[in-house]
Order: sequence, then C-alpha cells, then structure tokens
Amino acid sequence: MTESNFWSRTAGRRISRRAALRGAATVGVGLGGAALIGCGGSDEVDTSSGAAAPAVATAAAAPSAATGTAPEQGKAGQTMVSNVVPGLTYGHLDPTAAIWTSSFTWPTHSMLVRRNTSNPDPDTWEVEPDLASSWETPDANTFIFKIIPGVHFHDIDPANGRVVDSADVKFSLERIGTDTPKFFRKNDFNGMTITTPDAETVQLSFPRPLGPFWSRISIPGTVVLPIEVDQTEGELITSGNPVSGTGPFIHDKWTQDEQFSVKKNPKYFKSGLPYLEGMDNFTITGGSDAVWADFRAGKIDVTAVNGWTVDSLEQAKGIPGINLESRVTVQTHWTVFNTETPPYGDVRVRKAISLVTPRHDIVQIGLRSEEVGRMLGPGGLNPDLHGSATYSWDELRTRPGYRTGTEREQDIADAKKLLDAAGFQGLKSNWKYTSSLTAWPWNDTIATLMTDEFRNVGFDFVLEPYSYSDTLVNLASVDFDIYHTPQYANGPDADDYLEFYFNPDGARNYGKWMNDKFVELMEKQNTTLDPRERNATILEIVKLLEEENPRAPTFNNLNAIATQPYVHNFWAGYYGNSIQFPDIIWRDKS
Amino acid sequence: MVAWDYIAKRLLFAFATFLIASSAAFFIMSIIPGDIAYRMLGDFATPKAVAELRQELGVDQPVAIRYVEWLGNLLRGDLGGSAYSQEPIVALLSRKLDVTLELAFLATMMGVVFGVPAGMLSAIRPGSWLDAFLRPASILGLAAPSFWVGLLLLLLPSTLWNYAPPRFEPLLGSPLRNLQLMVPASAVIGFAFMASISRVSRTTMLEVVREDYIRTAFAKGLSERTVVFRHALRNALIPILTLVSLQFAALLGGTVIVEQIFSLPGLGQQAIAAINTRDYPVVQGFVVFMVLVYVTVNLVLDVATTVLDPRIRFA
Repeated sequence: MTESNFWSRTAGRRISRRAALRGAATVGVGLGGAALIGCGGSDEVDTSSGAAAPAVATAAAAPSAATGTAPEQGKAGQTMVSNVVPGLTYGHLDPTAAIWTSSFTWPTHSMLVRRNTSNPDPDTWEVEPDLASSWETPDANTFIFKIIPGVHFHDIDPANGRVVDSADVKFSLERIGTDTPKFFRKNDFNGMTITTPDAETVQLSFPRPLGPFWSRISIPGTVVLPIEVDQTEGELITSGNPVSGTGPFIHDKWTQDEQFSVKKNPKYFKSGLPYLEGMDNFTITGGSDAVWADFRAGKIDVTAVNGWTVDSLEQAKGIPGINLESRVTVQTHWTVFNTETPPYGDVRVRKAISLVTPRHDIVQIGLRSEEVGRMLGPGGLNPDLHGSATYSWDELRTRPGYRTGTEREQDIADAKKLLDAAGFQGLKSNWKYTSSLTAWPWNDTIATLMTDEFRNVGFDFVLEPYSYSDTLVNLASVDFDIYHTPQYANGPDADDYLEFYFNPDGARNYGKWMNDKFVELMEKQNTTLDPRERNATILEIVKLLEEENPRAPTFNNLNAIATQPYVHNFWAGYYGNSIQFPDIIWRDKS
Repeated sequence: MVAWDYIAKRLLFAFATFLIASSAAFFIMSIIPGDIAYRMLGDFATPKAVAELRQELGVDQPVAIRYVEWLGNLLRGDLGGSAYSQEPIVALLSRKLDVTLELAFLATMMGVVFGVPAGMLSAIRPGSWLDAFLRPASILGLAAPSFWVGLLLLLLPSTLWNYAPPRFEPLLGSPLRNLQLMVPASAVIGFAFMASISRVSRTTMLEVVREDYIRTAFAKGLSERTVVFRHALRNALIPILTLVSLQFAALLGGTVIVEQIFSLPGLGQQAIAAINTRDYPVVQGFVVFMVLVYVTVNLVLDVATTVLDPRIRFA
C-alpha cells in the first residue's frame, strides 16, 4: 500500500530534492564527532512574521521543485477532521511525559530538531531544523544548538506570545528527567548538563557519548515548552486549557476522551500557508463500524484503522477513492517468559517454544494477511524501523522458528530435542494472553493456533484470556509463568526496545531475565555515536536474544491510515499520529 | 401518619440504601485486580512506580479507611475530584449528565407517546389486525438487542445513502445538529422501551376493561372515548407510570451501549471508564448519583400514585 501511494512517491522525490538543496546543512546522525554545520538557510525563514520554522517552509516549496511540475494549487480555508486520537485517553495533555501523548499534541509544539521523516533511513537518523536553525558538535559529548531568533510562543497562556529563549529549552529538556512515575522518559538524557551562554544558544554536555541522542532529541515528545508551565500547570500538564507552544497549530480545545482541536498559527508559515484553517480530532467510540459509517458519509477526512482485520481492510477498499497507507508501529506481540519459574528458567525450553511458535500460521491464518501484520525478529526489532540493526525480512524467513515446509519440521524436531535435553516431561498449565476483547480482534484465534502447536511438543495449555489493562497488572505483579501479549516500545530507537524489555532494571523486563553479555553490549551500543557501528553491536544483541529468548516475538501488527480522495498531500508519520508537512495538506470537498 | 413522616421515613430508608450501595461498590472495586496506579502507569507500571503512585494517590490505605474518609467528605458535601483527571466530580458528572438526561428523556417520550396508545389500541381491539401487528412488533422490540438496532441505524443510512448523523453537539449550542444525532440514538432505546410499555399497557388495559365499573360506564351510555380515557386509562396508568419512572431512572445509568455506538459523551460512558481505570471517587460519585435518582423517582412515584388513585394512602 505504501509503495503504491501517489503521495508517498511524491514525498520520496521531494526529500531527495530537499536534501540536495540543503547539502551540508542537513545533518545525519552518523557523523559522530564531526562538526555539524547549521542548516535551514535564512532564505527559507519568513522573517517578516517574526517567527518561522524553516523545515516546514522548505517542505512547502519542495514538491514542485522535486517533480519538475507546476505546484499543485491547494485550497485554503477548510478544517480537516480526524478520529486519530488514541492519546486522548491518557488523562493528561503533556507531550513530555510519554511519547504516546505527543501523538496528538505534536501540531502545537516544536522541537529543536526533528527527524527527516520523509526519508527515514533506518540506518541513520537524519534530522532537520525545527526550532534550532543550526547546531554543532565540537566533541562527541557536546551539542550546541542555535535557536532561530525571534520565534514567538502562541499568543495564549501561559507564555502569551513572548519570544522563545534558551531558558525555555533548558527547562523543557531538564523536565524530561522529572523523577516521578508518570515521566516514562526520565532516563533518556541521563547525566546531561545544560548551559545557556546566551538567549539563543543551548549547550548540551554528556559525561560520555550517547548513542540514541539524535533519535531522542528529535522524537515528538522532546518539545520546547514555555518555562511558565512550571508555575501554571505544576508537574504535569493536566488541565484542558490551551497551552502555548511554537508549533504550526495553536491549541484550541481539548476535552478528555472527546476532542482535541487546533487552529493554524499564521506566524509559523509563509504568507498564504497553510491551506488548512485547523484540525479537529474526535474520539469515535462505536468501533470500526461507526468509524466507517462516518468515513463513508464524509464526516471524517482521515482515520487511523488501529487493530484492523482483513474484513475491515476489505470494507475500506470498497469505499470509492479511499487512500490507504500502512504504517509501521512500535507494537510487538510477544510470548513473555517468567525466567524465574520452571521450566522457563531453562533457556532450552524457551528456545523450544520459540522454534515451535507457528509464526507463518499466525500471519496467514490468524491475521489472514501480511497487510495486517508480519513476523517479527528477535528483540522485537523491525528492519523497517531499525535497518541493519536486525535481520532483514528475507534473512528472517530463513531463521529457525521463522521457516516453512521441511525446514519448519526440522525446527519442531530440534525443539523436541531441546526439551528432551532439558528433561522436560510435559506440562499442563494456563496460557495467559491478552484477549480479543480489546484492540486486537485476532488474538483469540492466535492463542488457539499457538497452543495447538505447542501441544505437539508436550505443552497442554488451557487458554486464560485477559483484557489489556488486566494484562498489565498481571505482568507488573509478575503473576504469570508464560504470557502472550502485545506491548509498545517507548520510542522508535532500538535502545528504546531493548533497554525496557531486557535490561535487568528495564520497566518491562517482567520475566526478570538477566545476562551479563547483554548488559555489556547494551553499554557499548549506548555509547556509540556512529549509527552503522552501533547497529552492528545491536545486531550482536539480536543474535544473543535469539539464543536466550527471554521473550519470543511473534508478530507486529500494522496500522493503516485512510484518507478521503479529496484530501491532498496527507502524510502520516509512522510513529504516533504525527502528520508531516502540515503546510501542504489541503482538502477540497466542494 | 402524616405525609412528612412518610417522606422522612423514606429518606431514612434512602440513606440506608445509599450506604449499602456505596459500600458494595467500594468493596467490589477493591477486590477487582489492579488499581488506578496500574491503569495510570500503563505499560511502565513497575512495582516501584506503582507503589509511589499509590502512595501519592492515597490508594495504598486500607479500603475501610479510604471508605470512611470518603464518607466523611461526602457528609461535608465534598465528593472530591477524579483521581485520574483531578476534575471535580460534581462538575464531571454534571457535564456528562446533560447528554444522558437528554437521551433518556427523548427515549422515554418516544416510549410513552407510541407505546401507551399502541397498548391501548391493542387492548380495546383484541384480535384485530392492529393487535395482530402490534403484538409481534412489541415482541421484536423487546427481543432486538440495542447494540444491533443501533448499528443498523448507523450503518444502513451510511451504506445506502452515504449519510451519518453529525457529531455530538450540546442541545443549547446547536439544537438541530444535536437532534439529528440524539433522535436516532434515543430511538434505539425508545424502540425497546416502547415495546415494554406497549405490552404493559395492553395487559393492564385488558384487565381494566373487564372490570365491572367499565361495564357500568358503558351501560350508562358513555361514549367509548370517555370510558377509555376517563375511566379505563386512568386506572391502567398506575403500573405504566411505575414502569416509565423506573425505566427512566434505569436509563440514566444504563445508556452506555447507545452512548458507545453513537459516540455520546454521557454518564454511562464515564461510569465505565471510571470502573476500567479504577477511579474510585468517580465510581462512588456515580453510585451516589444513581441512589439519589432512584430514591427521588420512587418518592415522586409514590406521591403521584396517590394522586392517580386516591384510595391509596401513605399508611
């Protein structure tokens, strides 16, 4: 779907052009200690408005330059309506606390830099200017950012239109490290010290190199908030009142679990842009039937089809003119082992379970299509997101536990040998799993498929379904021996997976797995700036996890974004619901 | 015994009902696995983080202590705030109540306006073609699940005519758009309600029209309209009124399915969300509200019954 989408092709060409335009100004994460030269040329900044973000302004001009055709004439003055608001249920409006909440606050805030999402090369982490006009790295542990001068916060509380300065950046980055339970990213910039030599300069210093620096500084949660938030909002932004940011849209209305609306920030854009007046995001609680009813009637322009099935996919395809784009998610479905409980403390048993896991059947029978989900490799890493840090899709299909035909029979035979060697005499126990009651309609079928297969090697599991919220309770209280469940990574970087799922102190290392080699390799990748060198280390970790199997990944389900035919240039980010290039999106429903 | 004594006695009974209901809700919530700290922390609910948050929220205290504390605050008129969003509970429930109240009112109106005449007509013309049509129709209304009827009402117009009702807007903000959504939503409940009212109306009317005083009324030469409306209906109204009142009270807490299907931000949705997130203060606020509704409805019903049938006295 993504490959055949017209706009994805257009955007792909656009970034090539943009990259060429910027030349040395566009910075790749792989440059290590090399000096990074500032970018976002001043010709792209609308200085007459007093504030602008060059990244977006550049994107506006790019399509015609890229394609060599006349610029498409956008239609101004409309509001785009979406139901893409899963984060509304988090009970707060703080983009910093967790990456998920930023999935709906992204339009109202800026970061220093943001990922070049139109060319998200998984082997690098190319970033582009957002609130920072340039940056440099005098050494591997130091990053100096220059803020675009004269950028104003939105003219609403609490900053009321004042100019952004380095103190706001310092406050915001330090705030990420808030040591309370709700701030899930508190360890993202461990050891960082921030100095502000002047109002437009911010220097970040680390005691040692931080491998995931560019990913963490550029994900939507690392936003710049006004320092006044500390006084007006307290620890967490919980009020429904609008909070001023510097992003392309201004927060207009938020009602928890119901609505999040933004209106355009004219100061952000070049004259005549953006085409959209605003965006309204609503929660639709009636399930996919209600969503499609609204979509078919044109009540919503964009919808995210989360947890979709082949049937809903076919239903969507039947709507005339619909554009569908699949999206990689950071969600992994796993079999989690309690490694402190027999027989799962024995690596041979865990590996046998992984070998017998019917991953092809899960995709072809459980999900009924690769359009809905795909097998996922060790560590839950995904080549689309993590590039050479994990097995490619083709390689994965040759790995034990991922094969078909006679090779699969060999895997099952090997599993039996491993179990025999472990002295396994058969086991009758419960198979706890996250049921279809929540967002994963296929989970009951998959649980049946898996437990049927495991019966062939002596595991007599009785299905024990739980809701996702009860699953979290069961896992956190270590009330399980073995559990099949989906889980979300804390960020798109490989480290955001591995650290939380497998580190001894990892928040989601529910099975209490410990391995000295893993800790050593994690330390190594975490302090390696060069992305390819770092990915090589991560691949070593992947291979270690393949052997140790503290969790056996099963599949990754894809999400889909559906847009109406009259919506133009829509581009959904693969993470959260961020919409890229908001200045060129428009709709013409006349 | 005078009326005030009776009302005081009922209020005392109501307080006892409230204590039992709120205690039951509180203790049932406490034995369900997990608490609000787990729900708030979600994927990252480490035991340490959960312990810290539980302490911060005060849910690490024994249930009995928390209950007594909550009750003490309630007696001082303080329902507190949502543990999840910190929004004052009175404001939260009031905001949601508007939606549910409108839904329940419209559904009740539909039920009464169509159900009572249907039942009456069916009863005074038993065995007629109208009766033959209305009886299975009312059975269908009772048998069809509201989620099925709701989805049908949503999907059919969308599939056939690309029509979907507008998104919810408050009645006072945009009456027309509000009714475009609320009328089909309330029709889902109203359909079932109409069916039950129709059945009860038919049964009671059939009993009443066989009474001696009805025969006497006809023998006196009164017209059918006068007999039906002045004598039969008035006497048949008591069980109908009881049903309508209790159903209306039940609707205030029981419209959750329709609220879900039509994305209505009502009280039912809020209650379910609070139960799912283990937001005790909101659940308790909801219980207080429902007890108050039931007690008030029952009280009003008792008084109304005496007006309709003067033979009934308080004692």
